Amino acid sequence: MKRIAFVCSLGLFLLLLACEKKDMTSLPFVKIYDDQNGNRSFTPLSIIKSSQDYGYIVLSAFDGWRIQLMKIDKDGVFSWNLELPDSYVNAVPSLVNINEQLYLVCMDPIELNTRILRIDETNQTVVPVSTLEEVSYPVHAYYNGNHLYLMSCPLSSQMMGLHEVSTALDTVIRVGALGIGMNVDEHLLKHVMHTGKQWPFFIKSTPEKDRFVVNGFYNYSFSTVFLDNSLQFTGVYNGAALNGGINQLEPLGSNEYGISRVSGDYVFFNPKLSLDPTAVSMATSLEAQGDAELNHEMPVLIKELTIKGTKYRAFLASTRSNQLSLKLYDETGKKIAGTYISKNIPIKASDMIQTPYGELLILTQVRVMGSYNRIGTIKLSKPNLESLVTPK
Amino acid sequence: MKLPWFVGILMLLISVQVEAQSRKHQYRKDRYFFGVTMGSGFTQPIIQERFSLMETTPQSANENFDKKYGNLFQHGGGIYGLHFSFAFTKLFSVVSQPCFQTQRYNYMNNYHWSDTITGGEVYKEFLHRQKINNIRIPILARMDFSARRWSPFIQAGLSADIAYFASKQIYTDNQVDRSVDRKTAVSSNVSEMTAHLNRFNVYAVGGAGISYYREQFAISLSGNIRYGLRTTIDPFERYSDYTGMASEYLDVQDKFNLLTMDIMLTLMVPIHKKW
Repeated sequence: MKRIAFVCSLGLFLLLLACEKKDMTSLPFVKIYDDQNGNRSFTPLSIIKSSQDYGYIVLSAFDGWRIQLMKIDKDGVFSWNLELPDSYVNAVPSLVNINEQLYLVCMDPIELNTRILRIDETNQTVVPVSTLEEVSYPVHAYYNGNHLYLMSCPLSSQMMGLHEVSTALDTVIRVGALGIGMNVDEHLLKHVMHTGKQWPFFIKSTPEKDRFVVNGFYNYSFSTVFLDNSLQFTGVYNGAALNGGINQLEPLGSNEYGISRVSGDYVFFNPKLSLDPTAVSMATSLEAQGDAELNHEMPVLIKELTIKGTKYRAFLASTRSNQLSLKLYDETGKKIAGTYISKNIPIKASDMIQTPYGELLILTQVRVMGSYNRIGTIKLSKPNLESLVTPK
Repeated sequence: MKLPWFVGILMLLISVQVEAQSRKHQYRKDRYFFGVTMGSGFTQPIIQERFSLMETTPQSANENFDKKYGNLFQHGGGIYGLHFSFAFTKLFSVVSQPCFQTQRYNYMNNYHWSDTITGGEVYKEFLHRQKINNIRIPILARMDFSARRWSPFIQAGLSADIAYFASKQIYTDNQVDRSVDRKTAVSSNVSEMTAHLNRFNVYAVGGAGISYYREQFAISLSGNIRYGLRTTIDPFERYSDYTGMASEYLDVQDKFNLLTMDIMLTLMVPIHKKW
């Protein structure tokens, strides 16, 4: 009996010591970046991987259209921030990496023309690169690997401009234009000052690089317009005046797209939809699955993620109940997983990127204590993402 | 004030000595003891790394958002369970006391904003109260110093702890004075936080006590120090916000191991004298 008691005791000791070791290299986090000034309101715009180290650069607007840059490390820990002088305002919500240099595009508040600034991470400052006199009120920037493209909406022009910028980033070498046919100045000013509706402007190119898709004001509506490489119009999916249409789109190649659109008070997703780049049609009639819990006034983000070597389309949107809803679809358009992120406070997704380590980093605006708009980052770790797509 | 305590302890020691010398020794070798145990445990988090949802910037009022933890004796919880032991020799035995234990720990933090729009300074102070319910299964080696009826002992070993339920509640007031009165403060709901924990933990246990043996029963009073070898919060679930309190109350828990001091009273009976 003594032997049995001894063996049982030894067995229990060994069991206690047998603990599983997990991979600790990828841990999730949630961070909110403090500012004691309660009057200050931040609107995060874009996040991009640092060109120098494992950290990230965050671009935000504050006090209306003023600009702040912030550097965080790979764990979301604050490194430094920089409030740009008020001679630079209205940063477009897209930081761009051109030949391992980070740039931001903004505007001179007096001249109203566009400024391109290089971010000097070493000296924690920005370096003026060029002034583009002919581009007024920039609203979006996109780098397709060859050239920088800018979208602008000059006040009172009733036109949207598309500008291809030289590789030296100092001159506009090609221009396209979209006629709006109506005055959108009030909408535009509220957009750039962050005092009203944020319009989902974007420029994207197809994987084949044979076409551009732009979202902007066009022909009495907020529409999705296809342009060829000469920035000439080829087709359009019109929104329902200014009250509905495509609010996010991800080109997948072969004329297929993942889209999100708004009709009335509802958001609709289609992770795989064929669009005709020469069509003239209504965006609100595009086939898509509605999701009543999503807040139609909040942005939707669509990104391609690679998890366990498989590509997925991630749709991220804010719900009406103060959460973020993340949905993953496979390449056939089948929904694979869905999850909710955050709870109980107003939260808005501003940008998201997949890190080089297979994680998902989400840039958000969170309203702390229900009062103060602050910049937040949320990282889903690689195991988090893998568990989402693993069949239960 | 200390004199009555001193006199009491002195009398206890004298009576122990008298009893020990005046009675015959108790035969314990090859005996099983089964019984029940109950007591209190006091818990203290030992911080390994601090985490904060809120990141300080040059524009912050606070230099950091470190939590201020309460002390050991503010974190009391109950213990009740069973006692099993087997005496290999008259002085050496193996003891297991599987039991339910409640561990509690509290911490406070605060935030400050200057807000001229809503009327000046905004202060928020939070008291976070956590409770973890465990099943613990210790295996201890006990060495008695005497084979007589009164027998002081020391014991050491490991304990497998399984956290089966954990919850937290937050109290808030609008003054930063390192005090939140739970009677007047605004409280949150009680939220379950079990999923935030490393559900299985191993504790190193060591302690001492004294037993009193009779032929029909035995009583022991013991004190143990227990230290969790695994951290209490699962690092993969630290930010998962199962409570719904992370963003709302700017709460994320630190990396810590729990240190517990237990005081336990055990009543046991010998089942058979010899196998």
